Amino acid sequence: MKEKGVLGRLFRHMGMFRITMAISIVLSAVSSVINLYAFVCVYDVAKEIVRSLGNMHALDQADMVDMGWRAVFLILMSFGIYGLALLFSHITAFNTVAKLRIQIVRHIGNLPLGYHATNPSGKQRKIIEKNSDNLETLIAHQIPDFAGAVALPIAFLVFMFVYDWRLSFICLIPILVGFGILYYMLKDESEGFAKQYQKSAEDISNAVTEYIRGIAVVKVFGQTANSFRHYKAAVKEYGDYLLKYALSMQNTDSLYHAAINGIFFFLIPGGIILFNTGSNPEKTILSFLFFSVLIPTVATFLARIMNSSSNLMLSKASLDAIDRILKEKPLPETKKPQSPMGYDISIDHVSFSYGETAGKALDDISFDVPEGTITALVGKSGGGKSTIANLIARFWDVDEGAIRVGGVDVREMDYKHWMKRVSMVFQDTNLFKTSVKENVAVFNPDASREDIFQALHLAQCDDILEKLPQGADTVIGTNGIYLSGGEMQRIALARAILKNAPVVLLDEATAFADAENEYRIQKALDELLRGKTVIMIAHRLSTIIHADQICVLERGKIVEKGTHRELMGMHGAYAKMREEYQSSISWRIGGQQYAGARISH
Amino acid sequence: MLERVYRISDEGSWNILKSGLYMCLFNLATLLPVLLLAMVADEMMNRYFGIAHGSIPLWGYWGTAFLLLCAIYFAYRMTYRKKYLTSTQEDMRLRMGIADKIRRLPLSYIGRRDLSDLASTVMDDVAAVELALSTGAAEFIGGFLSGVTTLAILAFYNWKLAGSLAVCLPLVVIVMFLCRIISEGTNQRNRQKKLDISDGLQEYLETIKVLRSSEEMEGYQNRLSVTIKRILKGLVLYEFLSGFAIGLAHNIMRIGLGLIIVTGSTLLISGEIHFFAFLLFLLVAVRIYEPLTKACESLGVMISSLVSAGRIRDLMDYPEQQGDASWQPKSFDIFFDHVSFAYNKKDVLHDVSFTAKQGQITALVGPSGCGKSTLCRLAARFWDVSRGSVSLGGLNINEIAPDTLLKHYAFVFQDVVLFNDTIYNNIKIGKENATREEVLTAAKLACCDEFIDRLPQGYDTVIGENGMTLSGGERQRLSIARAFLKDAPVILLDESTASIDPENETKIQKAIGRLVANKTVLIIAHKLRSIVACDKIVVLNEGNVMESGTHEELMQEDGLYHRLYSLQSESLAWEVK
Repeated sequence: MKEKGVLGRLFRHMGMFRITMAISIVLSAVSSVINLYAFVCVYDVAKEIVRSLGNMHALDQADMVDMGWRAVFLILMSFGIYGLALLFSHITAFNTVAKLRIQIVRHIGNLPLGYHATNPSGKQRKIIEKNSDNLETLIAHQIPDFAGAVALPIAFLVFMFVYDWRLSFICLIPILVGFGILYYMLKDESEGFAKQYQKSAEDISNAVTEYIRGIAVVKVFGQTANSFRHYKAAVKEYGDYLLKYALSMQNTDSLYHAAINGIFFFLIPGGIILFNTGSNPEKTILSFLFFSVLIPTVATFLARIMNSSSNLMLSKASLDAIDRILKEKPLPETKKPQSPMGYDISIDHVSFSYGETAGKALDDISFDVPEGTITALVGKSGGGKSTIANLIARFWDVDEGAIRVGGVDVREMDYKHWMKRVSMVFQDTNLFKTSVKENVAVFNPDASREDIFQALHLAQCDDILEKLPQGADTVIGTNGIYLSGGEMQRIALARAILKNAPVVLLDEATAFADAENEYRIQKALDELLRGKTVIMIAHRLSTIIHADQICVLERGKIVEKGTHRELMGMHGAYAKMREEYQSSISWRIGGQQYAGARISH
Repeated sequence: MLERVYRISDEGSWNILKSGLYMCLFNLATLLPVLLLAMVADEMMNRYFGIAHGSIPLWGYWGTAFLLLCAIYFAYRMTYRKKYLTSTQEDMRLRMGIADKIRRLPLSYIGRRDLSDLASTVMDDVAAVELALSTGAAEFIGGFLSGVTTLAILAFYNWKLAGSLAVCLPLVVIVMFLCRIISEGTNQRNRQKKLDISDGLQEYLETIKVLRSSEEMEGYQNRLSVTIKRILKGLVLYEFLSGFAIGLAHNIMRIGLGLIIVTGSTLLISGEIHFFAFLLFLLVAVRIYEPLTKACESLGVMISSLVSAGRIRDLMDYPEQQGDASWQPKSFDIFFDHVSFAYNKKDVLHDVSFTAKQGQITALVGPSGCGKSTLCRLAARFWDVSRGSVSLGGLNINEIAPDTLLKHYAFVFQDVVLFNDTIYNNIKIGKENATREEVLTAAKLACCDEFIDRLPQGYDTVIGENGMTLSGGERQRLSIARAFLKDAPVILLDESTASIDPENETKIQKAIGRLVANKTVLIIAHKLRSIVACDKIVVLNEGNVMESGTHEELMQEDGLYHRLYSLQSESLAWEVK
């Protein structure tokens, strides 16, 4: 059975806390057996009365009262033990879930950065949180409750058969019918349902997101009826699915409840026939009473088993999600790391694709970047510019070919060592909620105060420091102290300047901050790029006129390569882009163009 | 009552109530066999002690048992049917109702709450309500009613015995109430603690790129682990205590089982009750607590859904913008008259006055955060101004119904929202009843036809969630096509700051040039060189109008505009060395 697989996997995650889990399971089982004994007390009372029915005065009142108190005591004891079981299960839950979370935190820290680029942080976080919460409930409550629910019918069966096997058999019929229905309900059909349900719940959640994201558009264009279409369809599908499932279960579920509550229907004729035909009327009366008292508990516990089993099935999805993260392969690390001799970068027949089904993002690309020079990558979006930068930084590893730095394949280098020698600028800014100073010094924890301030100064951050209440010691990102996009970029630049890595990967991308910020960012870049080996993803062709090398990419291939002058001479793709660029920067909205306003080089 | 708390329909509320009544019937039907069992036992005893003779009539009892079994089956089936049908229908109705309400809210409401928060309100809160309706309400009503009914009948029969069954119930109520009072405050703190873990995890995930290339990784992970452990410990402890308290409440209830033995046997010996009565009470005693326990549990489910229900109510009761829906404009001058606006208690605009004339292009410029975008949004009544007024064609737009007002506006904003639908339908958003002809023309005017023709199914290509498969430039052009299709007299334009490849850029420019001809245009400009020919440039800084005029006038003034323009010219000449 699949459920066992879930528990088995879960137990592995528990480590040594399997012991506390086991204790909890045993205690919970003991608790429910003791609980059953409380019902036996009720029976004992009935038995005493029956035995002395002919002569009521033979009844010992003190004895009866004792039995009453014994029942109270057993109930409380059963609860006390159950409480202990809960305590142990919560200890297990805490340790397992905390361990799992920490394990995940450490694990994802070692995954290739490509994993994080393709899995948004918010989504990752939600997966981790939701599923570990589910597992916590499973361990803390559902497993002990399930154990108790299973132990009780077993104990009950033992009791019954010891007591009177004939009536036991009769009572067993509806119980078996009940189990049969339960099995049928929980079998693949409902697992298929769980999957379908998950899917339509996901659909609806996507539809909601799309709907809300589009609300402005919807309002603006007065699209009342149409806007709902997708959302409506998703809600309807989800609702219809729920309804269909609910209706398909209506007869089965009703039968189940009739079966587990219907033991009397078998007990009554059984008892009557045995009494009418049997030879030992006293025994028949007593067993009839015994079963009358105890059958309700069966119904209760069978209903509980049903709940816990369906919950168990849902937890499987949670465990799967967590195991999926833990199974992601960390970035392969070489056993014998080599150190690069110098920082010439060579891209050697590199091919790469994002996943099996995606087309080739890079197709047999080669170029060299001599140390201390600037290479610009240009081309339309989707041409492969960012992919090259990402491969150099080992977000992913190449499929074919190799990227070498100073003659050494990046995969043969110590990852951390290499990361210290590359700066990535403008990917996104990634600031911590700590002081400006600590943010700048994150790569250089030993940097002196002077060095940090020097870097901030070179990155044109003086005006930011002046604005902040505690200067460089101001904690950013909280208490209403937020920086604009351009300001955050400058702090990130200060960080890179302090890091002073010999290789810089620069994405000019989002650059169009306001005039003031843009101006300062460029000044900061001048500082950062000085003397470095630079690979730059360029968008504004005017900035790269003096680059040592320009590679024009189109659909994963290099179509042209050379200096600005050489490429212009070719009258090819680059020259055409350049022409478009010139016309775009001299465009004016709403009027005649200004003669002579063309900015040219 | 349900309809008011959960905002479900009257019919739904009534159906849930009915489901509860069927649940009560079911509970009673499962209790009645006890009477039958006691009667059979009594028959046996009478024969055993020679009071009665002959065989016990099998068919009479079995027949009755069969009827009871049928009653159990059908009562359950009815309650099942009613509660699931109703809860699902109400779930759908609520989801539609919320979506409809969101559409009618001022856009400021949506802007204030982040997208995922709003989406999760719809999803999680409705799911919580659905759960409360499907597994909470009916069980509670049924359990409570059947418990009270049974106790009342038993009390009528013998109040002492019934009393000993029920004596612990008040205690249960007290324990439950105490739990509730304690959990009230703790829940708030626990939510905060969970948020602390979330924030920690989020920062870690966001900064993982930086951490990986620094020496901080391990230290950071260790600190995060300690935080996770510390907070989780508190949460799990609390959870344990509340689970324990609920268990305690249920078991206090069961003490009645022992008490009835004590009371019953005393009464029996004193001859106050007959054996049959005692036996009946004993058999009832082992049954009666189950529905009551369920009622308690269901009450818990319902109580915990109240927070969700409250959030839904807040949303549904949020005031909508009002105004005249039949307004017909005479002209399209937009006049900002001493407009001030505060957002989240922070002043964004102070005393801004200017006119964007019909048929002219008015550009808004200034450093980021100066209030340009806010002005644009105020012009379309996304928000209502705090002081002053915005008027269109001479009428204060606060007096015009938002939907009516928006008919006269078209927007080309930076964050282009596309739907997971065909290109054709994405353009058609611009005009609900547009013909195919019109859609194609709009696409052509917006320079979209060239890239659409390259797509595998042309206009019928589905573009994926939020148009993931398209480049930034292509998305921009699609949004321009929508604006063409709408052909509104007022155009609000937010020039793109993202870098777009030159080819795309020129196409966008061409399209915009066509779009703005002869309209009232308000443009948020980032690239100053592109607005030098505008009819009017309004320069903003920190929410104030610093200067305004044509490019030439402003350049002569030597103010902020002059400075920004020079900076940008210098930036444009920048190159890597």
